[in-house]
Amino acid sequence: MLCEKCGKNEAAIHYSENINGKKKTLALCRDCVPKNNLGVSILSGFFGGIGSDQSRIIPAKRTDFKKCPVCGISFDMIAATGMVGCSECYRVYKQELTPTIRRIHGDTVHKGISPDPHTGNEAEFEPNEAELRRKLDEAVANENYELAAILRDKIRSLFENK
Amino acid sequence: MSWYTKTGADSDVVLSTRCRLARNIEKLPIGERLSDKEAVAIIEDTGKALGGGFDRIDFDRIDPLTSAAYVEEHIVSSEFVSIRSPHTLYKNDESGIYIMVCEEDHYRIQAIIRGNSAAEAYRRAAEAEKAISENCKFAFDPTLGYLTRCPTNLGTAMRISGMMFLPAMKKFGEISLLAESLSRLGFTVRGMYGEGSDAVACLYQISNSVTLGLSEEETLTAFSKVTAAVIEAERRFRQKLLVPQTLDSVIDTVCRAYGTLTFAHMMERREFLPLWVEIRLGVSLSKLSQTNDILESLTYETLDTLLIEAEPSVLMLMQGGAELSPRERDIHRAALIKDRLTPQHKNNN
Repeated sequence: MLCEKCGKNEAAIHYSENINGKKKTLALCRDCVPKNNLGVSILSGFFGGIGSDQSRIIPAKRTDFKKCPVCGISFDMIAATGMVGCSECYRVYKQELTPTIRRIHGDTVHKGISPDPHTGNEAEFEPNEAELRRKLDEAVANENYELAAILRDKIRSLFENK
Repeated sequence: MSWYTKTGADSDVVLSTRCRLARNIEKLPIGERLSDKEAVAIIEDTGKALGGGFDRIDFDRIDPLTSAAYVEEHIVSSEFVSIRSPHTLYKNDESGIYIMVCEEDHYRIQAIIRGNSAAEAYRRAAEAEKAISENCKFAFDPTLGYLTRCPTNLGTAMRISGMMFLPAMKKFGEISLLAESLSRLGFTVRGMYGEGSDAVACLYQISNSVTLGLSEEETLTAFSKVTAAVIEAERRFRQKLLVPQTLDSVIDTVCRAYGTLTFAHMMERREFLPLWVEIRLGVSLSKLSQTNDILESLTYETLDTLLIEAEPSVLMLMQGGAELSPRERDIHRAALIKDRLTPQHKNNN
């Protein structure tokens, strides 16, 4: 559902206003929500909107009622607690979590060690070159050159020097 | 013999260094979404992977006093104690390895080393992590790194921290400036035994706040540089206390603290902590200026062990584990302090 104010972005929350006893609800994107109604608590700010003032800001209703197949958690619950229910949530809710992760860590990618490839699960654990190249293309298309440079260096160090 | 009874490098400023690695097993729920059966399976598998050398403590089966004592010893978090489903600590006191299983993440692998020793703490934690990984598959993503329950820990999922004793910097009002400078470098300063800059025991935990985008090696190098700078700054401010204008009043304060601690019949924890600070500072200044034989003969291990022994739950466990009233605790605390700080105690050992 698109934002009912700007009509450009995907609606993220339902915003309710009470004017002279008459309640009006609009589906708005984060850019169009009045600023004083955002960021009630640190984590609710990170995840896009559930805070102590829940009567005014609630997550937009989803039509698919998505649940993580491993732990069964909904994104609303992740937003409320600030924590995922299992590691699979990062894949299932990738789109929803990406802005949060970017807000916490910036446009950075993992640079540390990877799990021991000798555990017998190399294929799944090894960084995936195709995935990294796809992210690189995406970063260039979005003119995010800082992230593109990091991804380029990572691809070089992992695959081109072998 | 727990981690805090040992000797370590730069102990005049650094009480301990801790390295914590968070890990989760892939395709399994975490936290309250994990079933008791799954939690028990993880706990059992961990025991097999670690082999001998570790004590297993099932926290859902131990008494509240013992579990509270583990929190006071800084071995487990207070959150760990409050979990209702199966959760276990695997510990090896000799190597300072303490693994919380089924905490916020499936694994919180910690190595706690006395003194300033980041590289060694990491080495030991990584060794335990490797042993566990033989029996399971950790959740990992090439871009996000190790997948943790809270997104703030993504990446290396490593927290390296030092417990620093900074009384001179506090006396000269330098703590907020330090916190501000370190924050710009990606490190956090948190007061222990109190909040923020009002840490009554002058103990501050310095830890990395960045986990994604920096490798373990880069983080450890940065941490070591930061720690070295803080140690140097604290020592410089201690030297300033040794100038003739302030030396006599500093010695007087320390000796009065020693007198109170060794002659009191009852000692409340809140009275003890600031006096402990004066004694620990006095010991380091005495070692620098040879001002007082008794203080000079006290060791940091004795004082740091005393800090933990004087905590309420540890104290009650030492007295046999019976619940004591605050008045009884204060009497036992005073006796313990007297015993630890008087030269007879040292001679008996």
